[in-house]
Amino acid sequence: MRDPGSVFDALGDATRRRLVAELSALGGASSTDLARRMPISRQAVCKHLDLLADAGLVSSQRHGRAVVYRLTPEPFTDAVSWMTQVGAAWDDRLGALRSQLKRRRR
Amino acid sequence: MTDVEREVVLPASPQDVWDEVIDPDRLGEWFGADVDGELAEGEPVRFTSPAGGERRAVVERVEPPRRLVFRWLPTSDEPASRVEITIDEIPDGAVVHVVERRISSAVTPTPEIGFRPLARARA
Repeated sequence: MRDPGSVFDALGDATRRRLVAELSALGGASSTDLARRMPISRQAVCKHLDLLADAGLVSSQRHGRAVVYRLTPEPFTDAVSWMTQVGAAWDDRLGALRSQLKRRRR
Repeated sequence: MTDVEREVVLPASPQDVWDEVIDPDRLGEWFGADVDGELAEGEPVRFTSPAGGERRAVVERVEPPRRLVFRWLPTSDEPASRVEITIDEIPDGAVVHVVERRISSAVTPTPEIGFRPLARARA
């Protein structure tokens, strides 16, 4: 099974987040397409795409001479569901902490 | 976007907030769980929810009265994560800042000593 933490490592970089945003807007794109839209070289784009692919965020498919990259939705869903659950738990806890402090003051 | 982050302003002094954080019984009250263990650096702590669910943690940093860091250990359905609670003084109160970040098992700290000889032995 894929390590969910690697998703967070992969997204902990501004260039890779930008790549994800571009892929999301374009649907599918080659590294050349992506390099045209980014201030980095195609080689750098490929390196970042490899990292995103290792985290399971991106899949690639060969179309003739070009390799087309796409986002794979499952890891995103997993990450979002973790953040939603953990966020809700902290909202509850911090709300309870506030009431608790109020009770102690009385 | 890789973290969960929350901030609340509380009408209490940092020390009052810290008292609610560092005492296992008081912490358990607002966590909605029974807290077993001492909130001291390196100590294991067990959180048991009223429904019986159990979560284990290890305390990493204790800096009274303003910072507590602990690590949730992974379970079969929850990944490991690190929680950092910081308390700052503001006029008439305190700001509590919470950050929870998932930890990749790939980057779980491995003691430097022991790792290198092992890597060499395998080569």
